[in-house]
Amino acid sequence: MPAPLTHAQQLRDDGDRRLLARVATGDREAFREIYIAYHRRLARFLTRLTRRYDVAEEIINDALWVVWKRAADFRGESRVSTWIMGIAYRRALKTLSSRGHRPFVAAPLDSQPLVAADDLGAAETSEWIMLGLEQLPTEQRMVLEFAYGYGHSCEEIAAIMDCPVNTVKTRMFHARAKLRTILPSLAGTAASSGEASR
Amino acid sequence: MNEHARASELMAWKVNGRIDHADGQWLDDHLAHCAPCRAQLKAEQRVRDAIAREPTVEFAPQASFNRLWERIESERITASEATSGDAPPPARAPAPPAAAARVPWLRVAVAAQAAVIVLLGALLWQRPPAPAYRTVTDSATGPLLSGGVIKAIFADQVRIGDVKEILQGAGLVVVTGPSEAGVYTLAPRDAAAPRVTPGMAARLRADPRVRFAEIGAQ
Repeated sequence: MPAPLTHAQQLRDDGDRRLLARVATGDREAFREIYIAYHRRLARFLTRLTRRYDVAEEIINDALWVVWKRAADFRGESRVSTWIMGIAYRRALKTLSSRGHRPFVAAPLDSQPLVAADDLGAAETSEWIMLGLEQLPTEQRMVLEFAYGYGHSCEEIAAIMDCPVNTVKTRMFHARAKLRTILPSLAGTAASSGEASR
Repeated sequence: MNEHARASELMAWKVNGRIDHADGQWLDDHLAHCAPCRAQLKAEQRVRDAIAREPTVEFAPQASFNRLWERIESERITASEATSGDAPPPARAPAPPAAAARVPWLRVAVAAQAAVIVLLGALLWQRPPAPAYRTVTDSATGPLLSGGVIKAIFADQVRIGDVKEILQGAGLVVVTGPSEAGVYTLAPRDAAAPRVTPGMAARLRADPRVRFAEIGAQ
């Protein structure tokens, strides 16, 4: 059963659907509202994915250009945000592929672990975690981005990444396991639990 | 899958608020008596917080939106110009025979138009060679137009003198424009080097008085 939306997510999706219906009729102001709302959200994951602000901007405009052109094709089977994130994700992969550079290179798991001291402040801990994330393969990292950065459910991430739900679960499992290997302090005391024995 | 493994899988969806009710209830019961899983949940929340943290770089969405909207407008104009270029000019469209028969004066008007067209044709025949450019609605392919054109929009406050200065700097001349939406079609000034270059468009874009400049279809 698909995971339910939070109240805030439901409200946002209702608003997005109203705006998108207006965009489908060629309403410039509605498109501007959608654009401003999604620019920030897309910029966050696209700059992390591409590591280039200018490329991220280019992908955002390409993706939202598609939204403008195809708003009338949206059938409402998913959240508007799932639809838009999927367009942006696929545009990003295509752009990166056409430029001939791979977005991320997975570091071997036996590389030197990044050890964050327990007494570091929250901001520094975040920086260590981000460093750890950068060592994950793109698909695994993106599953974490979509789940934790945007609150998407497993089913929604499958729609965005155009893959089966079980693939999302597998990527999520490996991403979290590798992150704990790269950042031992994240493992907490889980090593003593059954989780570590899997 | 043992219960710790199940708890580990579910806690990813608990920290992002997308766990369903039954699974959430089961996980809460498990966490109530499992300290290692509670510790893992805390670590998972730290990962979520790090990922959900807003970026320190501020984008300027309104400026980006303006760029995208100019692109949309430019495409719309190009499409509409191409469509109007394909349509036969109204003056040359023959009136349907039945209609012409019902309205005798229409025959006279058409005959007069034809005479004017013949006269203009004769005048054009005597004119010097056509200029070394063509508009986007021309169907003929002029030898100097194989180099393409640039579509540009200038800032609202730009004066004629500024436009002249900008175009001279970029080595361009106006072919047509401004259109209803303020779009100018530009071509290279130098007949010996008729191809528009990315550098020309880039020079225009670098000028703050230019809102939009893209190499476009001829």
